[in-house]
Amino acid sequence: MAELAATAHLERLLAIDPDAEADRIAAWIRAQVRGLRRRGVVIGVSGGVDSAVTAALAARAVGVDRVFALLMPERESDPASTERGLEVVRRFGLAHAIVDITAPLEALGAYAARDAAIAEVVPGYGPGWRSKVVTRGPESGGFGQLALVTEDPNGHRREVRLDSRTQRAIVAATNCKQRVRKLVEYQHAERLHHAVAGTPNLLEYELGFFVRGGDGLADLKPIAHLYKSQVYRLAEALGVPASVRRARPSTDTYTLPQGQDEFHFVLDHRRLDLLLAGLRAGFSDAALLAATGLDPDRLAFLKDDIARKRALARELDRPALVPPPSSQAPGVGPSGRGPDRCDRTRDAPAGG
Amino acid sequence: MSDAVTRADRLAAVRGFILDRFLFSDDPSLLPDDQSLIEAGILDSMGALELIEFLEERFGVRIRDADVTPGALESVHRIVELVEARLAVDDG
Repeated sequence: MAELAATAHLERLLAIDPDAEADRIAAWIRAQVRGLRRRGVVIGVSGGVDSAVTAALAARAVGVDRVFALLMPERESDPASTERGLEVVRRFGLAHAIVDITAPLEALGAYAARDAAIAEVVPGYGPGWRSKVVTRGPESGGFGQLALVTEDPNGHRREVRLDSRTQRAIVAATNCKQRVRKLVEYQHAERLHHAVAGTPNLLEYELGFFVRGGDGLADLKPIAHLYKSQVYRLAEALGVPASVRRARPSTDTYTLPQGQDEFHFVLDHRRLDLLLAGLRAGFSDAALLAATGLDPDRLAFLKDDIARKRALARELDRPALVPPPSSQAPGVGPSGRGPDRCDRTRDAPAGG
Repeated sequence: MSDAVTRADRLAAVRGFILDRFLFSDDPSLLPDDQSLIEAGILDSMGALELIEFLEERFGVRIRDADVTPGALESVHRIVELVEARLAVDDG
């Protein structure tokens, strides 16, 4: 396949008629909410483009008076995120509440647990310092490990590799933010008899950039099939405020500014869109290289990285495992001989 | 002969760690030395990190970030080769 043809083909795959797609998704949302026998939709609005588009689609689907938006900042959130979230709810005329989740996070000990874990590997870490977790490794062919970047009150930065125990402690404490937000969303969803809409785009959904029981939990995920560039196309067509469309995709989870690309994706979303679309369409490496401008080594590493993240996403998103009925598998139940490794891949979805 | 014993000891130590930590078992038949840990879904990035910590403590070697690749950690056999390469560097 000629290089130009590959690139043109990929661009066609990512092309979208935003108005028609918005109508199609809105009809889908309406049908799902009706099928769930709910009266409307609850959405956490972060100030990012994904939740803004989801909110606009929900309003188109069921009417603005049946969408309830939640803005859930905490003490480490960027105030600009809340400002952008407020712009979104005003633009679309959505009923909303601002629920500051700092107090529940403090009550859970989330900040304290994270800071104590960091202080063990960065002596002196405390009030006035900032930090973030970044991914290191896959660019050079490694497994992809997390490193911690800290900045002291004088602005001096350092980076340390995280041991497994510290890594788990930081991630577990930080994930409380997403899980508390989901708790608040379901509180309001039950109060209103609404469904909860999750806001992952295709990159996040397919590559597992979500917290199990946190932002990964929802009754419907209306834009999980859209590449990030397609979400931006819809945002423009739906009238999402320009400030939201121009903001850099951020986790807004750590105290230092952190782009999604440095935490999870390790590639900017434009090229990740092209790469994923090409992989899904069965493109050859030569065609992928031509379309993305990556060098061959990096492409090989990214393909491995994507395969691992797809597997991670399936694990994060699957229902709880339950044993088969005892009558169905006589003698195959727990026998004390240890796990059967084949079980680990048994429920992998086709085509993953 | 002592080299062969040492290699066997290292294989047993690595195999024992993986069996215990990741497979909740002490049955070596579950884990042939050339079994791919990646393909079998045994090792992910957290598992790799825990394995490296074990190797560094057990064998007193320093594993560099650049060594932590799926290829180098492909199997019990490859892991022991990595350890021995790092031991040779330290000895040199």
